[in-house]
Amino acid sequence: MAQSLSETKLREWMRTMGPRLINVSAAICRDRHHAEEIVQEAFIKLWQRPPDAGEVVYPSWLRRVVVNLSINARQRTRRPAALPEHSNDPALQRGERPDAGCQQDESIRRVRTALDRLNESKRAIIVLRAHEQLSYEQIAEHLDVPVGTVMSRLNRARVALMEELKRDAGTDGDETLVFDIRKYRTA
Amino acid sequence: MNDMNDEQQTNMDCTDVKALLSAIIDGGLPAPGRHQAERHLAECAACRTFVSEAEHADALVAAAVRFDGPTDRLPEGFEGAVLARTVYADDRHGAADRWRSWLGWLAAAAAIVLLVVISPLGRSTDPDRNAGSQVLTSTYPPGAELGSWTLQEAPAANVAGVRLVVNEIARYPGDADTAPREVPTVATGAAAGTVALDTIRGLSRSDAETIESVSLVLSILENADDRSFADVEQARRITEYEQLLPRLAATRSGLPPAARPVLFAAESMLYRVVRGPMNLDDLRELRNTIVLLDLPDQIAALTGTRVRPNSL
Repeated sequence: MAQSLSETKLREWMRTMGPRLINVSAAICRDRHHAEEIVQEAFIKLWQRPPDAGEVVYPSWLRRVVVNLSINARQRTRRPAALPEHSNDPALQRGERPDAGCQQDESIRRVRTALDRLNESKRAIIVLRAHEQLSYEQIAEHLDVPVGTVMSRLNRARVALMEELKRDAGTDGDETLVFDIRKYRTA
Repeated sequence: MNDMNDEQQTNMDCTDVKALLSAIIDGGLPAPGRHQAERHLAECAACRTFVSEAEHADALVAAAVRFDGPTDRLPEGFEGAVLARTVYADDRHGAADRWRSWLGWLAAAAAIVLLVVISPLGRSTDPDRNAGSQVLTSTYPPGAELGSWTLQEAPAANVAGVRLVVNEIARYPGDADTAPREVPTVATGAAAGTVALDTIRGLSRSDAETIESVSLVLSILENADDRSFADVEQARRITEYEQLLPRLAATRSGLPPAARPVLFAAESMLYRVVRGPMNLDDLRELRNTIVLLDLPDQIAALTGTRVRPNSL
């Protein structure tokens, strides 16, 4: 029997998980407003029918719902992929993030462009591995596919991403990509 | 045969590396394949670069995801939008159920109240004290008295607004003894547009600040976006953080009687926001009432200034 959620708990979970889930969803569906709606939908589902296993599984349950909604939502709407270069979040526009000065960074722009050219499934699996740092088994659970399928899909997705990055670098005069992750890590 | 296998192993080509990219990066390649890959990478600069960049690309993707939006706070209106479709929606349904269950009781109560209101005996006791509950339980019969004013006299367009503010004030728990008496004054004056408050001379600095803050919060509510609860949430936070309700009650009690009703109305509006829960219909109702009564300006008139939200 699933336990019901209190308003306080719901607020806590929204504040704890919400921002990260929105980013994950936006990375997959490439539409920040759509991502917010998707994550809202996930919390509404959580409120209506929280998982029986209790709060310990809420994070993975929410992420699974968000990832699947993000993949399917884009497949349903078929809108052109478009994630704004600059978020509409007013705080970001005011430059409150410590790394806001890096917005023009070429490497970020190229990765974004490359991700835009992949389909939702490829983006989802790359985000689950690279950002969420899930194991193959966990990704398999999230996407409801066998581990072997995860391995082959992830490989294809990574190769496709690299080819897109290469293509983008080629159009910009064969510049070598600069990957200096330290610049993007938040303090 | 063994020689042939060794030959095949050393001949892993660039296509094989691509096919095993994930396993190479994530360290999931079994020993024989790993050795083949290592041998090829040692000889092939292009594949070394490819694998190295793929490793870095993971980190860069993670950074790009984090970089796309804040990781520590929700967008404005997010929480309110979810609550409106979960907690508050459930409350609304619950309230509707409760309302249905009490409907029969209310019908009887309305009849009794109406009887008391229209009877000379009822009026002779203290009609003002019954004003709030009258409006809550009766069906607003034309001619029903609200203190010294009759509903029939109100401009038709304002009747709904008067009803709303009277309801809110009647629900407000503060100053139970004075609320019903002041209700008709506020409602009548606002509806008829005859409440003209003069600037209070000699208003203390702290009282003026309190009144200005209340006017500001009411302005936020007056202009609240009814597609989300962002503005209501902001109003609630300011009200609670600034402790506006107790401050306003203290300020009100020290002001001339003519100024108290409008401040009481403002208190009841703020209390509505702090009390919660509110759904979107509640928000629209509250906003319309504030607009109708012109509360921000009415209150600001007491200090002779008007603080608007965009001046924050």
